Amino acid sequence: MKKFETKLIEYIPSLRRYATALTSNSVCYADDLVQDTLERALKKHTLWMRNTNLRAWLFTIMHNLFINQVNKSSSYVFEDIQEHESIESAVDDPAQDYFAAQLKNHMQSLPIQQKEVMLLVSLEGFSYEEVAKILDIPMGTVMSRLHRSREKLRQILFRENPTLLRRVK
Amino acid sequence: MHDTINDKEIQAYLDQQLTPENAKKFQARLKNNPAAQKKMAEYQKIEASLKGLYQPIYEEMIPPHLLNTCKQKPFNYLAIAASILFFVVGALSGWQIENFSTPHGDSLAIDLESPAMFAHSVYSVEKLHPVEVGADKKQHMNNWLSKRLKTQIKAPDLRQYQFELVGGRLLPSTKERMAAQYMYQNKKGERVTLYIKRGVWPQKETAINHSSKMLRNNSFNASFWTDGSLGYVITSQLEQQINQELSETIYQQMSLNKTQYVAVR
Repeated sequence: MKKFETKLIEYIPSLRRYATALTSNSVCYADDLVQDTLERALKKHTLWMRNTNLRAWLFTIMHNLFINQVNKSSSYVFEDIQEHESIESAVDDPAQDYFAAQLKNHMQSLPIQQKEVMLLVSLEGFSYEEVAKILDIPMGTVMSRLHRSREKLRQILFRENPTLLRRVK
Repeated sequence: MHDTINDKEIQAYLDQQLTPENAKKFQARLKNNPAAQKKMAEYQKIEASLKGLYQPIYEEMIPPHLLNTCKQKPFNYLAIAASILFFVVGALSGWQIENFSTPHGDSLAIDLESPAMFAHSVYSVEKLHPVEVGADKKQHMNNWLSKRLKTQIKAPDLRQYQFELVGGRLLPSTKERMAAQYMYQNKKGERVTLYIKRGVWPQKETAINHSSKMLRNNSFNASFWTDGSLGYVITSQLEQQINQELSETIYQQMSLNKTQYVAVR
């Protein structure tokens, strides 16, 4: 049986990835959020039921912390502070780069509820059921929010591309 | 018959919600529906780009302060009871368990192995500037690094393993300390680094430990040990056995070096 702390460490990369995407790519705020999540998990670790999904439990904690902060606002400020150099693009093709940059921008314009669902499914690979538990919403809501956010992004990224339109004309 | 594919179906396929059998059927329908095909491709591109965007942060080294958070044990009555018992037993029998805990000391994993492996992953792939001072100025490099680390160090000789010294550099490390990195390379272009750092280690002298880690898509092997106040890490992509041999050789050369140094003084 692995120790609880060791298991926590295993999930840090994925918590950081999600937190970074969630907090508008500000790694500083993201790491604060991760740290708060870890501290809380350690404090409340007796509440975690063994042999249940620890990763989903951690994301639940993070979601709650994040939403509290958003409601109180100001703590995780949503401004474009200087980006961490690690969020360099993973692709070499400039067209791909451009697309990814556009996607990153437009992700930020999604409502938080939609963004959360999309990141949990598309980025973190959680099932609809897990996401419903993490966010404490019905599964139908997960699916509709997911569809709305994807469709919105698709419309923006593939339809409203002015350079593309001009070329068609 | 015109087959319409709705968004719900596209989403179910995209998120792999279908059984393999149904997924196959869906693929067949998709083939005959260019509009749905296009939509699917666009969704897939969004999914792939999103994953690509955040892959670097996922692969990044975990910042030490987050690791430390996890190492602070939660409040545990059993552990406290055990430590009181240890204390009482220790006091009664006059034992002294040295380094039973080192609250202000350095951790081998966080302060030695981890920064060394990361430094290796950064500089061992460097083509233009693998080192700060080249092996042609070896004497100068040894003096300079000894001065900065405030301890006598010297690049060991690994020519018996066909590894030539490339040079070395000074590195910032954890807890506002500095470290030295020596780089070696053989004819095949394989690189080995030796990382040396002063610290307050949990043990005055350890056996040679081994570890492996994935960093920036490459897997590295490390061997590390401490000797007095100095911690040493050998990192490479070579087999662990070779690391072990290199480590033993370095250990011998360094202790020889130490006695010579004391004798000269």
